[in-house]
Amino acid sequence: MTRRQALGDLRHFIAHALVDFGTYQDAISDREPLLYHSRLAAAMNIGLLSPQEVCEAVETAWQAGRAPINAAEGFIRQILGWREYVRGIYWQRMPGYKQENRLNARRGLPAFYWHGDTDLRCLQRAIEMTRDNAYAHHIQRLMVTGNFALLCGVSPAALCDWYLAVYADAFEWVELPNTLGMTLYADGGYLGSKPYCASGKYIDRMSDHCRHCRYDVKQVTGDDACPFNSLYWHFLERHRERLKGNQRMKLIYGSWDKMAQSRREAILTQANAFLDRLDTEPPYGRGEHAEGYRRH
Amino acid sequence: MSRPLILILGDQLSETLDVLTEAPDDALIALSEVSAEGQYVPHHPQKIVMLLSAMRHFADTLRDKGYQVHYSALDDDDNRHDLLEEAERLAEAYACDEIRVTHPGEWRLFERIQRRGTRWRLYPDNRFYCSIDAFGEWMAGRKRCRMEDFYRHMRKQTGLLMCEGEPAGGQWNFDHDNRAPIDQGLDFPTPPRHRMDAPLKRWPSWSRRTSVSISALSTASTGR
Ligand SMILES: Cc1cc2nc3c(=O)[nH]c(=O)nc-3n(C[C@H](O)[C@H](O)[C@H](O)COP(=O)(O)OP(=O)(O)OC[C@H]3O[C@@H](n4cnc5c(N)ncnc54)[C@H](O)[C@@H]3O)c2cc1C
Repeated sequence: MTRRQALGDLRHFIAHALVDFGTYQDAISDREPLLYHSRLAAAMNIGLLSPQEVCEAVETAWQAGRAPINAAEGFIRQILGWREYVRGIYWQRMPGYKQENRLNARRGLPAFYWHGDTDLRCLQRAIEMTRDNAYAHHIQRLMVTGNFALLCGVSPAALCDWYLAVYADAFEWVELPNTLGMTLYADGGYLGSKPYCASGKYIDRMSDHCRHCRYDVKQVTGDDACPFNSLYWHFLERHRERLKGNQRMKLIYGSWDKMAQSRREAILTQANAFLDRLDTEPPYGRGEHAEGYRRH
Repeated sequence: MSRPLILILGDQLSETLDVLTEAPDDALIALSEVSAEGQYVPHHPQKIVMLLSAMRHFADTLRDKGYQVHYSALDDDDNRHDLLEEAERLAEAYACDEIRVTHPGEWRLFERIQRRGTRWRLYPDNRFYCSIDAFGEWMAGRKRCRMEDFYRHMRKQTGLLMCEGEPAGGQWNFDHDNRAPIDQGLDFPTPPRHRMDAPLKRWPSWSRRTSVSISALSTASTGR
């Protein structure tokens, strides 16, 4: 991998993908790993491209009328905003940041994260694409593998080690705030004002996975019910004390409380049964890196 | 007068780093492949291939520009397989009394370097829009440190997508337009594929040694 190749990737992105980057930024495909994303993170993170030259190239394309403002702004926000911001947070908050676990999540990593052998179609595809390309785009990382781990209560160390290992662009200064903070809400809501938890409905809206899945995304209980649905309520119920006061969660707790007691119990039983069957592995990390997750 | 050893880490492959642009002519540049960095998590083989390939090419680029470079390969017999120990070994061997390194991307390394004593000198990483200190100043005294506020501050400071002090397009945020779901009619561009090249073929069978579980993830790689 050379700077010349990275510059070629940048030119290709600007010429062919930037135009649609904004509009389909949050979309998920059963077939396509990259969509209109740039795949430039790895080259930037190892120093082959500078964020300045990437942002300036995008601004120039917008000025020349070759990209709409929603695409140019949406893209520059990721770098000038998110990328710089998470680095700032990392260096301000370390070493304590890596020890945070505010939701007290203790579960190991679902074993299928290492091979993708699961009948939840969205997870299977996100993990297969990760295996094949050392890449998944942001919404797969956040709303598929990330959201599932959040709902199941996977520990920050177990999940962070996975993200740090499997992506070509993964380096701790950017991986840790995204995983521990944005995805697992383990920093108590520093990066996001509410957890990015979602039921199967979100995945069904943004993707075309569910039609290929053995589960029914419309069902919450029963043998065919999409596990995301009951896990979602299980998560909310587990963290009621912490989250119920959050303005942005009021509506959702309202609808949970309106359900009949027996319905709520059935949903929690469904989720518990799923979690009991879930095969997990302890965190992989070694040496000083692994020590960093522990409180001293 | 002795010369400095300049350690370039695997994610610091930029010719524009202060540590390089300010290097004296006789500086020794060190790039080191060490197993410690490959094994603390079971890195994806493609990630390792990309890093080693990029490091080897970068070493060649520096040599072409006239820098003196020592490259420690994974299979070198005398490799200490730890970044700091390998740099100290080389400093000894080349009679360098100072080791310069750009601020690393991991707290773990940053902390170790600081404990290592006065021979080590840290240089700031100048590849970001916002330095670590500038971020600290932005944060100081703020109750809420939201990304959105930081982002607007950075837009104003850099002038990116700004028109006479106002955000281009009249608003800061177009998220509302950016939530379209997948659509079967879409056509996606095919990104360039990168050819496997010579430095990559020298790559030893190291990734398989790094991990148990990730070996299931291993497919022959395309260098990116
Ligand atoms: C759980 C989790 C872990 C992540 N780990 C990493 C990581 O280790 N390394 C990494 O670079 N990104 C990480 N991200 C952020 C983001 O998902 C990736 O940067 C992005 O998917 C890389 O693909 P791309 O280059 O095609 O990005 P694009 O979608 O094309 O975005 C353009 C660029 O914006 C930057 N960017 C976008 N989102 C973020 C973000 N949230 N934080 C920081 N930079 C961002 C990246 O530099 C990226 O190249 C993570 C996100 C999540 C949810």
